[in-house]
Amino acid sequence: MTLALPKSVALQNARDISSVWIVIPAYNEGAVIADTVLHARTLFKHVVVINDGSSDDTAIAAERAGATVVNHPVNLGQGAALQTGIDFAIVRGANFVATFDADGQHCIDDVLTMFNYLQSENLDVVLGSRFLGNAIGISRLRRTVLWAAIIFTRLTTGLKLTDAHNGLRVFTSGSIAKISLYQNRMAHASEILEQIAKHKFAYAELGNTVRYTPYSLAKGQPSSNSVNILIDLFLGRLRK
Amino acid sequence: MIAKILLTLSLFAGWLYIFTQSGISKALRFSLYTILGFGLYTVWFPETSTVVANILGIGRGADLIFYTWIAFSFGVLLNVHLKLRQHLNLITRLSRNIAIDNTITGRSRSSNTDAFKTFEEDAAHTMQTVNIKALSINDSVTE
Repeated sequence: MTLALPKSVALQNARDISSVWIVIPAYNEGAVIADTVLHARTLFKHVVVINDGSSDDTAIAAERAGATVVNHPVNLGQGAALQTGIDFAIVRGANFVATFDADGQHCIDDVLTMFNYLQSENLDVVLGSRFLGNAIGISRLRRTVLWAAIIFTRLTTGLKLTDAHNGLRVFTSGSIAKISLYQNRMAHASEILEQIAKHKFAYAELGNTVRYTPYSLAKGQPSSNSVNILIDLFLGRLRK
Repeated sequence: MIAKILLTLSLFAGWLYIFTQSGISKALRFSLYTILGFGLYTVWFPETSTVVANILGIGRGADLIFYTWIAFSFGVLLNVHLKLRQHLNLITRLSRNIAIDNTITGRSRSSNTDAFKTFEEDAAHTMQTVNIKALSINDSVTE
């Protein structure tokens, strides 16, 4: 039988959970964003959707579902949207920030598990790993590309991860305030890991569920985009 | 001699171009300076280019200069790309500030909805969250 917690502990938990901000970058996700926001709001009060210059009804759908919507005037890319969401959450007083995909791939229960683990282990960041959890419907090609990304990340950052491009992450506000994304497009995932290594954040990986649906496969980046990511990362290093 | 002077002046203009560029890495700047320095040397000592070309297995000095020119052009192209990227970075920061400012001041609301909850609604949501999930997952006590 489950007993209720003492009131003081319950209030502390409530305060902690209410200071988690779910950051969801979205570009033309009008078909699914309402479901994603409603799903997130079953557990978390603060859900911010960064509408990255969508030409469909993403912003309206997200707002009607209860999200705070930050509208980019033009399309800038997922990395740029993520940074905007992070900045907004910090401005609004977030103590914890979770990044979450808009296309319905992720499960919000995983965020809560990661958040609890972050707190119990006193970590700076907890990263999701589909290969420690479940990758439902993943193709062999995608698995191979992600495996190559893991090797690349290990060589360039020294981080020993089992999943290098998982969009589900939970940060403390103190750690994520130090993250500054230069990569506007998909290379931001590698850039985040580079900065985690650079700042020597205390991190851990937890298994999460990633569900590949026909929608997410059609909307998501093709595996060939990994070449663009490598070029972006290389060019990013040439700047001063 | 006139050609040598004109080429030297052209290379000097190239040096000025690199010198005035900001936002490029030290490695790229050093590479461009090296190529320019080599170009200047071969203008005044053209036989050297053939010697170096032979060492590198290219054969003719003229070919070596042609290849070096391609490398230099690539470096300049890269620099132009980085400049464009700098501008994109400025646009990104500008867009971000506008977006956040509009949201905070309420200017960017997409429709008239109840997205902005009252304090009481927020508090109720929080307690509901605790009751449903947090207790059972993290801090539950069983008997």
